[in-house]
Amino acid sequence: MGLMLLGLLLLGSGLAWFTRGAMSELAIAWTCAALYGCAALIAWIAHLTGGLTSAVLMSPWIESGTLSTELALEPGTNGLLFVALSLTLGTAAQVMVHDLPLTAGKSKAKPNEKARLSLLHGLLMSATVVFFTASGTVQALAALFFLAWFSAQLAGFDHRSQGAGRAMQRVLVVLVAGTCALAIGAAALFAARDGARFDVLFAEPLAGETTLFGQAVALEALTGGAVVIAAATLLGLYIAHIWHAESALTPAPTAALAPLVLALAGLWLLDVQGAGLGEGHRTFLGVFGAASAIALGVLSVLQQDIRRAAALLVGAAGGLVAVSVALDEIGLATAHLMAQGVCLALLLWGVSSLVARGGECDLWQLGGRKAAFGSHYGALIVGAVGLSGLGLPFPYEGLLIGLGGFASASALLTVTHGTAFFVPVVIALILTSFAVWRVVVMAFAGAPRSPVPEGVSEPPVTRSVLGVAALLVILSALWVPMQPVPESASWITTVPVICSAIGLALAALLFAMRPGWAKALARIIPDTGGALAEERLIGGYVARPLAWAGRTLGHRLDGAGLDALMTRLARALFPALTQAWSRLSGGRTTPYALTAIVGLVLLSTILAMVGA
Amino acid sequence: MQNLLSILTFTPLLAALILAIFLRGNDEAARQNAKWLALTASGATFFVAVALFLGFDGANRGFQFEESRVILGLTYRMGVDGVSLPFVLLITALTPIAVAMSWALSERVKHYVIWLLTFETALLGAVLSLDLVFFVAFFELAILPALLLAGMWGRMACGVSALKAWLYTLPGTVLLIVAAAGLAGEAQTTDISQLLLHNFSAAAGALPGGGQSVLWLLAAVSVAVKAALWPFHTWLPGLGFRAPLQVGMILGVLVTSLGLYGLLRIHVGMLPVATDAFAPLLMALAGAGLVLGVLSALVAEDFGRLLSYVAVAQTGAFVLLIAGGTVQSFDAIVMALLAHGLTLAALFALAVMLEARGNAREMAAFGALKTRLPVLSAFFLFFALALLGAPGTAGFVALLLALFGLLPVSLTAALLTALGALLFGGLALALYRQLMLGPRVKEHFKLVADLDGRERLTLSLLLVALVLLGLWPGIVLDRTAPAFAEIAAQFAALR
Repeated sequence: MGLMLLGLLLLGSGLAWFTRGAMSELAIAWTCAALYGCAALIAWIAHLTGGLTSAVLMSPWIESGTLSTELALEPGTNGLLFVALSLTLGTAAQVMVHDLPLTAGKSKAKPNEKARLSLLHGLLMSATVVFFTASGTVQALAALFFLAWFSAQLAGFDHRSQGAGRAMQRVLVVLVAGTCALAIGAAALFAARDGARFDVLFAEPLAGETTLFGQAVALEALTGGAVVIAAATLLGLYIAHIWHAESALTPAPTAALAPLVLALAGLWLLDVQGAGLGEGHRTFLGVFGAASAIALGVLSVLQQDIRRAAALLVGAAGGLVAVSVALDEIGLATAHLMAQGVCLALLLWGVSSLVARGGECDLWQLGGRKAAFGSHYGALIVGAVGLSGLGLPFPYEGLLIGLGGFASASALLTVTHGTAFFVPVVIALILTSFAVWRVVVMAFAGAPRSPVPEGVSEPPVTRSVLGVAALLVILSALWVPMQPVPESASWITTVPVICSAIGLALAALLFAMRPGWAKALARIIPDTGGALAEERLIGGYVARPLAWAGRTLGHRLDGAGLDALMTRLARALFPALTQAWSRLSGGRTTPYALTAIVGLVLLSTILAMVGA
Repeated sequence: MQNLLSILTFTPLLAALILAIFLRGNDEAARQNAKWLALTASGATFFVAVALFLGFDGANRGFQFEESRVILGLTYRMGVDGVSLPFVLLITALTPIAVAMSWALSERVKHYVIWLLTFETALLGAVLSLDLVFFVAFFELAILPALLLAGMWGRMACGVSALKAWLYTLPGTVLLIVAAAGLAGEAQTTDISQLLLHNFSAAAGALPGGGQSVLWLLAAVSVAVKAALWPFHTWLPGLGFRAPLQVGMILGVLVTSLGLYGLLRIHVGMLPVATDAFAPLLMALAGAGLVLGVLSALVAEDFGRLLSYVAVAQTGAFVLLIAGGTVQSFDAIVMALLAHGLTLAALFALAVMLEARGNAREMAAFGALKTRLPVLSAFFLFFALALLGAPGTAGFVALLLALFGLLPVSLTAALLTALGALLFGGLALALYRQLMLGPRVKEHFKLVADLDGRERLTLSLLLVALVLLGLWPGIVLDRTAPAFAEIAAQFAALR
């Protein structure tokens, strides 16, 4: 059955690639959607019945010394759930391919655009299946690389656009950094345990140590750190959020696919390999997660591009997931990601589709789109309510009445109550709420700040997908496990509502009722988020120092010292040698002279050796 | 088969002699004859190498296909083991590629291919010689044809750069001869198979590694210059900038590989105590070379300099693995040698193809080629990914083996390797982005044709080799691992 799943996805991809030009693009898109949908259905059935059997595809793949692995599909319980979730997201994305062109400012789809996107969807989902069912370490690392690569390809999908190459490069480099981190951790364990399956590799902390710049480093710290870094990269925590920001450029159908699938991959890593995490790793993960949720909330609020504002909220949700894992609440983390994931999918698809249809991505140029994009408006309202955590703050016989975001935020606040994470989580919730309501208010409320394009229509397929996603957001509270609220802190369930209300009120005040205040604030606060933003980070802390090192330590240093001496010597000798050469050449003695030189060198070498 | 190694080594030289003696004229027919003969001879050499590879017994750790005869009082010995086998494959595979890359050459073609074939013989002689005298002679002479190719067919005062490179090698030659004399003197033999078994004096001295250190340091200069190990690398980027790109490939891949072979054969094989003692120094130089090489490549403006710096960085990655000294790190050397060699050769070939189309070597002259040259762009993307070490290519296996091999010894080395992989990835994608992506095709590319059949075949062969090694690394590692396992055991015993 595992092979069938992979086969369906690869069949769809192959079909998209090999029949492009021969079949109509719509037929390709829908056939792929049907195949991917079947795969998703099989995955759900297998998850619910536990019926996905293992399948060995290649064995052994690499065998050398202690490095040996096979390519096999051997899913665990959560692995199957994550496969099913990813395939469902992929199917929804594939269905939306029907409505291409969904890239900003394009009037019609380019040739083969739908086929290419269908192919990439299939390949991304295939890599997902292989990753979530990996038993071999090399297999898992390879699948992770391909997840990174296909995400990068999707980010740079429109290769003619100015920023596509940059987006592709940044997405891949950041995600490959996470893969490398995981590989280092796996390498330490692999060597120490003389080979191990990936799904049990980090199961127990490892005794022993290695050296870093001559200093002893405990293997336990190293391997746990590797898992934390890899997971943080996939979840898009600060500063790995760069890839989320860049992947916002992807076509609308894919907008939610790569960020959420990779966030699931990050959570899966923490789930499967988390047993090896020590107390220090968990604390670090929690602090890092909470700080990221706040930083990314701030960054999202400061974004001008509506797609980036929405994309950064995936990282903010990832931060809260990390906090749950830090508190050893992996079930809650999964539920939180699932609940927030549906809302985020709705938000990302809605926003990307809005940009694609309207051709405008600047929040300060949007506004007043409610009439022209009624369905988008409705869907985004549902998404914002879900994400921000609005709900009824009074539990009725143990039942929280609200959407998934409210339930998961209440559960998160309950488990963090009494810990140092409580206040940061509250701040993060306020910022998330403010950011998401800001997006909705600035896009739809008030008068249009730029003309709404004539004859805009909301495509029925996109509307349907948004509708189904909105329905899932409404139902999402069902899969969040109830946390027993302490008697002394029954007020906790009011906190998400208050946070959400603060965010909504701030957004409405600053961007609907008193937009002048927001502009004044923007003038008063000098580049608040500049120091946190990815452009400043990459330019100031990565690209420019690297270029400086390359130019100064590389080129300039190369031309100095020994090289300068040799160059001077060569310049002095060259005319004399050239003169001698031209004389020899003129006298047709070249072969003899060359033979003599070679012979002399050979002879002197032999003599020296024999003499020795 | 008797004399297989001599046939392998001297077939290119025989073809060069035939060309030198029988080919006359400089018209198109003569040029074509020269190229076809060179391609046939180097292709035949490659097939002999494949036969050698298939006949090689992986379970045997010693030298195989041995030949021995006395010539003028010197013992001519040839043999191949798991260490030299991958070098033979690389040299014989890349020489026909170099000939194919030079197909558009129209100036002094006969002389060009003569030197190219002579170079191949010298390289194979160095790698297959089992006598120290012949090894040193071939090892030191091999660079001369390469420098002549660069100096005579290059641009912008290339002669001075070639001369400079030769001046770099001269002190190394002298010191290597002294070191070889020292080795032969102490072991009372010039037989390399005996020298590898000889336990050279490691008595305590002022230097780390004792008495072996003096010989180690004497031999190190020649090897470091040829391998372009930082900071002895500076001859390569300057020469790569001026030399024809196909010669740049010869310098950046084959000459540096020769240096690495010297390091493996002399330093690692014969002087393991000193190598282990100098491992931190090697690691520092290798790490600096790896990082600075890629960074310099990132800011380079033309193909020749850029790819030369990539070669410098790759040398750093190799030497880091040598300093690791574990079973997996030695396996990683084999895979990295083949993966990086083939990938860099492919990138040089693509640069030649781009130069032919854009009449320029500066990257700024190119852009948005994905639309205009889709096949070239697809090949470029594949080789960029291979440089990054994508799964399914030999680079991935090399990278994993490197991490798995280095980590138990040194986290620093493993982190440097991972950093190198990331920087290579950044570089590969920056190149792809600059050359292939973007909004507008440059005016002079609007009428340019995509790859022709010969170019597609050349690149396809490299692609197939990289994928084959990526999916089935055992085909090579099964044959080379036993020899390296023995070396790794020596290092393990020292630690």
